[in-house]
Amino acid sequence: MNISLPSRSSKNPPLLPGEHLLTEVPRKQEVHLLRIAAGIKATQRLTEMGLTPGVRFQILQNNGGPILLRLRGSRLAIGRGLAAKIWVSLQAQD
Amino acid sequence: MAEYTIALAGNPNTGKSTIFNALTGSNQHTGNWPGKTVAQKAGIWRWENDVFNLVDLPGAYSLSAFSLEEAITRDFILDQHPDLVVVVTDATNLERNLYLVVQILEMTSDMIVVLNMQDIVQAQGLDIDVPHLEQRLGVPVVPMAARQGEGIPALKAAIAQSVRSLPAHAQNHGFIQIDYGADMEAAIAELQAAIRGYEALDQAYPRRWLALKLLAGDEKYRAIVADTPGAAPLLNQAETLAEPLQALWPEELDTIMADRRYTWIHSLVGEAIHQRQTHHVSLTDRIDRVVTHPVGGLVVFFGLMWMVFKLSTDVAAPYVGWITDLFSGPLTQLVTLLLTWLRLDGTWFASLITDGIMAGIGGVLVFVPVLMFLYLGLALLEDSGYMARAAFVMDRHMRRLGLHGKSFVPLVLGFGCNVPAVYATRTLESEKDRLLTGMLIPFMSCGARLPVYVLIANIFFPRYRSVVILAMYMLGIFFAVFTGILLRKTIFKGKADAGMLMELPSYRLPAAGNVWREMWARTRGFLAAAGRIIILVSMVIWFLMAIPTRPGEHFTQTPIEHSAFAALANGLTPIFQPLGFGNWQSSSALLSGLVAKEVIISTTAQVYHLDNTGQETPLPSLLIVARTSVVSFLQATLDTVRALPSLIGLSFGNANNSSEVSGLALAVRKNFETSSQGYGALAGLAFMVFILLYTPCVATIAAQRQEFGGRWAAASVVLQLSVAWMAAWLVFQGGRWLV
Repeated sequence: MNISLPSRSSKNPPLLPGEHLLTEVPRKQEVHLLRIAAGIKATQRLTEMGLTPGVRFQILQNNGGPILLRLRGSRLAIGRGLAAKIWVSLQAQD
Repeated sequence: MAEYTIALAGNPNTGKSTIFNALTGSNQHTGNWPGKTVAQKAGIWRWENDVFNLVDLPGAYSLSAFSLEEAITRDFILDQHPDLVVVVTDATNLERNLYLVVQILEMTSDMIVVLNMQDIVQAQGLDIDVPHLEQRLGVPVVPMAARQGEGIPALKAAIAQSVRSLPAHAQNHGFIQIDYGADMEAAIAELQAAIRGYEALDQAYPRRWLALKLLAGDEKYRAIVADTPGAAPLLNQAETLAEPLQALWPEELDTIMADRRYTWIHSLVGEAIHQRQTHHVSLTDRIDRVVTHPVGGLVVFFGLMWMVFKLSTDVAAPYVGWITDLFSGPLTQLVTLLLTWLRLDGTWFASLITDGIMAGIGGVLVFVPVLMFLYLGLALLEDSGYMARAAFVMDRHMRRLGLHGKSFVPLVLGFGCNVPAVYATRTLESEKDRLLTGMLIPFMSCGARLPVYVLIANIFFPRYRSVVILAMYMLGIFFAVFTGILLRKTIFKGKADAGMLMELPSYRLPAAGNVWREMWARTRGFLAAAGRIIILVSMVIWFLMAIPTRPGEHFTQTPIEHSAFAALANGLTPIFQPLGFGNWQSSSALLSGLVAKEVIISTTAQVYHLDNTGQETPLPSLLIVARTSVVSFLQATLDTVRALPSLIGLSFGNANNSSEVSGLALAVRKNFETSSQGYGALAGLAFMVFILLYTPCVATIAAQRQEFGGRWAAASVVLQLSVAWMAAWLVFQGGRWLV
């Protein structure tokens, strides 16, 4: 799995090895959630949709627009702006 | 006999509205939530002598009040104390859906959980242990397949049984308790004990629920406690308790709470649901590979939009023609027959009935087929689960305009007719998106404006007719984009954009009952709201046209250029002087165009004295009137069926090819040349631009008023008029400068 590392921005916490922005993860990849680096409201909104710390999910579509996930048995669409604030680590592919 | 209030809650796309319809049948009414632009649906049913009032709460994923819909749902349950809350869940997506259930359970235990979509549950080979769910949730759980109509009597019985066994308006303090972990539970218990000491708060809110809210630092409820006399120590206590907890995790406490709820739900779902067969890639996922693809998705989206568009134009056209003919012919004859029989023919009353009221009703009814077919197409797309995909695909493109992906659908519909487009903004979740989209819809050149373009373009630009007409459509889009960006930077500035976050439901075959009901409900909504205004305005215009301004002339016996209407139009003429069409005939046409754009043509004919509707035809008998109406209806149906294949074919609508230079054309041309001092063509172009951009029609304004309130409707009118004037000015003056 070769994933290009995103550029560091001042808005997001520094990137550690093994951490990826959700926007950088390709289709079919399984990941788990590390943290959400958004405002309190946005974080709460995402959390209540099931994006809780450590939760596992799969990327169904990542093609420049919103990102589609399979999470807790549902198909969740996340706008790109929001997805760029979500940090994940890769899960070994089944 | 007792009366109960039942609230219906649930995530979006769980079949909530199907259940609402199944429970209440036709006994329902729609309105808006007090002071809000969110539609409220309510209905009643009777069961064993008791009356059940059902209130449909807006679809919500959770209750932390990120959106208006969530706030409405939460406040209704907290403040209105419904006797029972029925929470509809998608049983195939239970883990996500139970989150809302758990949040509501923390507020009230007077609840029934509906496990909808049992048919899909069966098909997917899932076994759901209903008794186990009931035991763990502590409330009745009713499985059903609402689309198939299965489980409705059982739900009614369960509702009746629940409300009757409850002590009336009992203190709802919640039965189930999610275990938030030893550390947090200790703080919750301490805070709960403290709340007991504040009677006002303890009476108003479920104790444990309030403790959780205060611990999580919820702004709204902190403010409420702060405003409660003597309750300040409670806030301090909550902060003191939250501080050491907060230090335990890098995340906020509300995130940890959400995590604990999901953990609880996850284990419950694990216990209650068993998969009989191995999971395979579902059909929905396979369809989505194409439909949510950036390129393939666009092709599918535009293809479907094209079909809906054709449905509401070409396919609906025969019925529109039938209604128009019915009103101009048989019905008017019938009424005239009746008036003659009553010896009222030739009086002002007869004129009011035929020229005022009948014309008004006809003006409303011609919209009905257009709207019904449009709603049919929309309901099919919505009911199948496609609409969420349309939003997904368009999101990236609409983002640039500062709009939500879902805004695209209403905007496209605006090309057919602005009225249903305004109603279609209801599918947008955020009020800001809804308002902004609603403000831009009038820039979409609706079908009614096309014949006016054809008329004017034929007169001034016979050779470049198609180019000029196409340019009008493009100009409308340009102004929508431009105005959208402008509004985003001014009025809608600072209202933080939430960003897309939604679930894509599984695809389902649309249920005929749902689609039919939805189509009728929306059409009725239009007739009720817009119909009244159109008829009223038609009567006002008739009245103005009937009032003579010259001495010696009598009421209804005055030529149009001597009427109060002409005087009023004349008063407006100076406004249009700088635009090149400052003549009273144009002002009259524009004034009547406020009723509906297609009226412009008939008014133009009228004011230029080329009215050919006045020919005297002998009155037919009642039988003949009835027979021709039925025959023409059948003919229209046949034509509609014939038009159906055009849904697939891409024949761009053949605009009327009647390009013969008529007397009307000559008269209009001469008039425009005079008022523009020799720049007739430029004035004609400016006139078309003005028609494109100015307030579409009273029906659209009425729809905007119904959806967004009077102030926004007024703002839209002002916006349209000023944009239209400025654009037409630029065209005429700029053109004159260039030429």
